[in-house]
Amino acid sequence: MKRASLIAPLVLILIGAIFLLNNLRADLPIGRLAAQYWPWALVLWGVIRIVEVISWSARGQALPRSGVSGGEWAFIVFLCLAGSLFSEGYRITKSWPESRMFRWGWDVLGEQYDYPVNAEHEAANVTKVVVENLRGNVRVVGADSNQLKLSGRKVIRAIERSHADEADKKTPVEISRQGDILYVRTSLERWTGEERVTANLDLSIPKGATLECKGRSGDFDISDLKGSVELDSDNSDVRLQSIGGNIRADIRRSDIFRALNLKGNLDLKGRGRDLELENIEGQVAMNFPFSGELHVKNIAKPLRLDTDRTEVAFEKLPGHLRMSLGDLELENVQGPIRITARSKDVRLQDFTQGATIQLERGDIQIVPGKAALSAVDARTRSGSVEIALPEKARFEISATTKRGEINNDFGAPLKADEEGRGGSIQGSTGPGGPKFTLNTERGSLTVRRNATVEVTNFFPPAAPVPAAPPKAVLPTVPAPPKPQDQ
Amino acid sequence: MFSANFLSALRGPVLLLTLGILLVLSHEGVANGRAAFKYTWPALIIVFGFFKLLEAVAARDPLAPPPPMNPLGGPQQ
Repeated sequence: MKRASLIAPLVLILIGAIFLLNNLRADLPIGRLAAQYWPWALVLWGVIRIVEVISWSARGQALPRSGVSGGEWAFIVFLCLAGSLFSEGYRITKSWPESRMFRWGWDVLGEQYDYPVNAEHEAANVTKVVVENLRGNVRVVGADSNQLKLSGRKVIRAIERSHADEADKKTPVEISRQGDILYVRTSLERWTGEERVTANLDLSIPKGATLECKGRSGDFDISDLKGSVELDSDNSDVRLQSIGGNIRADIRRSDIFRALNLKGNLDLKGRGRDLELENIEGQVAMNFPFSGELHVKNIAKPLRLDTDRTEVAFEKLPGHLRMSLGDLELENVQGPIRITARSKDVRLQDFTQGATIQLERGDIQIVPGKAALSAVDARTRSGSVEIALPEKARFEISATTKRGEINNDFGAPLKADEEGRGGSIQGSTGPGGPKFTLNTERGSLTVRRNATVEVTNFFPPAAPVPAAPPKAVLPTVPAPPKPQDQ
Repeated sequence: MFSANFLSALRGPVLLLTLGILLVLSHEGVANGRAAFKYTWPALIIVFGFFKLLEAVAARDPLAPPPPMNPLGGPQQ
């Protein structure tokens, strides 16, 4: 008699029942039950098969060689793997609400709910406005008014509207006055739930008041103020325009910092990518390592720039400064100028009051240009040094290279000597001229007449894209035919 | 006494039953996790060895009927 096992039909019935229950009774936690109790299926399977074997033996039927076939063992292994993965997955998802991953998931998957923010407060005789906003952009405009006007919106990301409503209630925007200081607080730090609350604020404050903004993330856009500004943030882009007072900013991370038309001093600390400074009447002090580009234009007072590896200082900049990771270009600048860098190609053009340049590595190109000549002390350990001087200039020069060729366009007044692998250029073209001391340990040394200088432009201006020229008809060698791109 | 054939047929289901019980114990966190499968899996080897031992004893038992032979000389399936 052919023996028949009950296992396969029972497995089918079980699977069907599970899916049916899942469809009909959504309230039953089928997933949780399956994740918890799947090993009992193996126990049940084992018991049934034992009963079957005893039954087959009692009835004298042929017994299976090992009780469980190879295919069945394969299915059991698969069941164990799938069950373990399912249980582990379920255990992880139970702890999701506390995890950062879950919060991130909410940001991506959750719904965005907006709540308008509108308020006004009397601000007569207010000397200072303090804005405390943990997250979100703050835009402040100075106005000829004795009122503080606040508008904007609160953005809450949540799974359900009720959660967002609760978060909104717990984070009221408050305006309070203490003496002559007006505080604007968004209270976002009070909310401890998982919903992400951001407040984007537009403020209009009395023009003469000073402003202090504190936050963790969110951009600042501040304009038309006569008072000073203080900014403190972990991660912000900053745009400042037409500010009358001093500016102090501590921005730990920034993609762009732009300051335009400032009348006071700028004291900037932090770290960022790109900086643009233009028309600043006060002093500029920057301790701000950056990874992108720095563009500075028209600075009326001394500037001190200190990054991790580069220090630049001068007294006034009617022209411009451009600096990137590998290049520094200064044009039309009043010194004394001091440049210290580890690895940078430096070009200095049109300067007065002398310059001191010290590089570990990098080329130096000096073009005194139209301005009166002033002393230069330029040294690099590895890189070429080139100076271009007017034809009839009076100067004294002492230039040496330990290893590299020397080029002297001035001829006889200067004495060029080759010594070993290097050489020197010494001499004077006339009394009373400034002294140029140029030094490189490895690299060429060049003293050119100005007319022959080929100025290298490290930062060529972005040229407009020219229209495609008409195709010239040129005699061409016939090329082998190529397959056309699709 | 059981025949070697019967014990051989019982070996798989008993191993399966043992595996299920070990996984249940592991899953339920019995004995503060000391019954986790990573500690108890050698029990499967013991059960397997125990059955192989019983089968060997049964095969030598003169009282037990010899397994039916097929025409080629091997045990009949």
